[in-house]
Amino acid sequence: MTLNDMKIDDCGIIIKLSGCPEFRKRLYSLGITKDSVFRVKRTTIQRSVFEIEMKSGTRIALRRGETKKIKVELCSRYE
Amino acid sequence: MQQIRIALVGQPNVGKSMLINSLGNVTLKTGNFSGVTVEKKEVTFVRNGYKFVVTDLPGSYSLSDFTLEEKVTKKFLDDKQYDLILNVIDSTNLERNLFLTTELLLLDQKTVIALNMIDEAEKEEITIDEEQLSAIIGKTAVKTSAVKKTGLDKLLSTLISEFLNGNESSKILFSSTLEEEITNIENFIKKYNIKCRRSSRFAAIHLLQGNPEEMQEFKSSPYIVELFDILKTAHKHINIHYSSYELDEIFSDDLNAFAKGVVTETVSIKKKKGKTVTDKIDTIMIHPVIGLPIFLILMWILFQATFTLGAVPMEILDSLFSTVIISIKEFLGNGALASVVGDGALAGVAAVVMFLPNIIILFTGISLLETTGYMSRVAFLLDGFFHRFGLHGKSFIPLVTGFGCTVPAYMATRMLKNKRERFITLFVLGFVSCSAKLPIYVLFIGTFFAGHNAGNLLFLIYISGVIFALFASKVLKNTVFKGEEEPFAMEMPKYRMPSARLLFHSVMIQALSYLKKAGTFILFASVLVWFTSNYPVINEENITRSEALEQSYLGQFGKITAPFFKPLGFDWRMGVALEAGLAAKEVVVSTLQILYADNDDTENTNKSLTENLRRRISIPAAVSFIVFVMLYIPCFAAAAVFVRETGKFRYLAYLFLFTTVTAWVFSFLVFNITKYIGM
Repeated sequence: MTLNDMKIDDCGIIIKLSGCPEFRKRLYSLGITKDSVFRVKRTTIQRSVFEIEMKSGTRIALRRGETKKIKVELCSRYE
Repeated sequence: MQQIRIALVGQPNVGKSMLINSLGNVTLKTGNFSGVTVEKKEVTFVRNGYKFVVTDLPGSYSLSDFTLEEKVTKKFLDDKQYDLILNVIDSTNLERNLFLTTELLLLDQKTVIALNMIDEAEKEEITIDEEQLSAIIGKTAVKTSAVKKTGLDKLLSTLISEFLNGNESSKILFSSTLEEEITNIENFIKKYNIKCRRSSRFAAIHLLQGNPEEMQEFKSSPYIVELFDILKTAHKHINIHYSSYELDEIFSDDLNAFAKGVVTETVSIKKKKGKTVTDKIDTIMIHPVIGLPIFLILMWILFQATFTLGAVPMEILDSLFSTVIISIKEFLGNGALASVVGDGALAGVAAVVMFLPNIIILFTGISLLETTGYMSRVAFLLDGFFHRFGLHGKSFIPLVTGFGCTVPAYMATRMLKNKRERFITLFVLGFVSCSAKLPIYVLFIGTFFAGHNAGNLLFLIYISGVIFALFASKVLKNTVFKGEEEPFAMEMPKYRMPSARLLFHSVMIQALSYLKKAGTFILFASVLVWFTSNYPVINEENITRSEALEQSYLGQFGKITAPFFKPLGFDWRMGVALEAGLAAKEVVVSTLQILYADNDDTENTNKSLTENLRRRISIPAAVSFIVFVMLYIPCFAAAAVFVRETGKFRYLAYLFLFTTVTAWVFSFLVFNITKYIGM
């Protein structure tokens, strides 16, 4: 599944990042890498933008298009 | 006195500028506003017998070419001379901040790390063992708080001692697989004694990553074939180990793993807090239902302040300048010299200074929104809508500012970090009717559509301007600015109290750079307009102002360009008015006044402008004129700022072409349609 399939308050672990190198580099620099754990904090009403919170506390907003490029697996809260 | 040149680097929102302000603790000389959008600031101060020259580089998450900030920072660190790097870190978010630090360590420069915001970290019960941290990464780390002014003396003495005898190489190590290949390439470089820009290790890492610039350096080397072989084998090995060819990913994962490792060994978090302050504020501020109304109210307050509050000093400045102009003209004897100084130069200066109150108020507001962290929330709320048109959530602010004045609106696009979204916003902003166009609309609606519910018509004009802007963005996005869309991944920073001192500084820098760069161009333009509308001087008696203007260069030019406007239903007078409107939109009305006022028979001299207009201009031509005014290029002042913001005159030419063609085509259509339906 991708991040886009997650619901608010779901916790996930990142399996793989796809998309162009620039995008991936940006995510790395924000601390979003393989195996990092996060939680979906909120989305806008039409789910056009997602806000996720990394375990480290960093919060990141992503467009729906970008969330589809992030492969995830659900996990229990911040394990 | 010995000089220490420091490159100040850090991720956004780590309190970099504030730290340097507290460190200098003197009235700072800030200057050097180079670059188009991103301004690196140079700060000089003297402490402990050394002269510190600090270059405050724009906040960057990493040393890549992703955003303008990152490019500026990377370029500076690669090409410029400096003695040491001061890397500022947000102690409450060590792991993410260390990613940039690891990249900096690879540069092999003398480096000092400031663990800033340590007071906040302590409040959140985060403890950092800075000695352990220093030991792991091989660079000294100092705990500081720019707000509480703690650790500053220690930071200063550390900077000096590192400058005197710090070591350059770092202890950062990649995984054994990567290290093996790096050593191989390093050995190759050493074997042939190839000169590198930096250390051989640095070059080896870059070559392994396939960095194009580094490749270029080695291209002319006679050993290139051997290098390619080594790299090929290296990539094969790495692929076997990682089962991936994505070297950037492998390296980034490695650096992040390093950062994670450092955090595990140096940081202890006592307890996980429940809801943070930011959480609480955000439940209201970006609430799915009330978030948007709250934002709109904040915007309303900002624009009321900008244009209502700003109108007061604007009027004072206006009357001040007109008094000064009159007295100077009298002093100079009301001749040609008086006219060029008064009506040309001084009027130009006035036009520049007049916008200053607006700009200062608006930018204080915008800086407040940015430094508190609210701006990211704005983007979060509005991006869904604006993204469809190729714009960014933050584009809303320049677009709404455009209703007031295009000059500050162009400047407000600076908050857009993505070049493509920024350029689209810049190009369509002119379609949003500014307040200076209001008198023209009022005159024409009043003249031709009196009683047809003028208010609604005016609203229609303004709304269609916005629709046009959105539509044009969509077109530009799919044509000129086509291409791979840049990703949107934005940090939502913690809410923070802004610092008055920094706020003052950033607003002052914006205001000064406006005066400096836009000012000179506007001055030149206003003298040009003054000259073309006043020369050649005709020494005939009883010449009316209308006839004088008709025979001026501007009038002659208007007659030459008349065929261009003819298909739109305009006579040469309307053409001249539009051309004069290039100087400032207010001039359109006054030019029409001169050209249509007194003329041919004395009978009409007393007739009002509206009557004259109604008599000479058909309704289709009037509608077409409104459309042209709505869509054509904004005034000189705005054009000057546009050049400044885009960085090239070429773009102004594109803007001119784009807006003129659009205005012409739509005026032509409207003119013929209204004529056809027989209005």
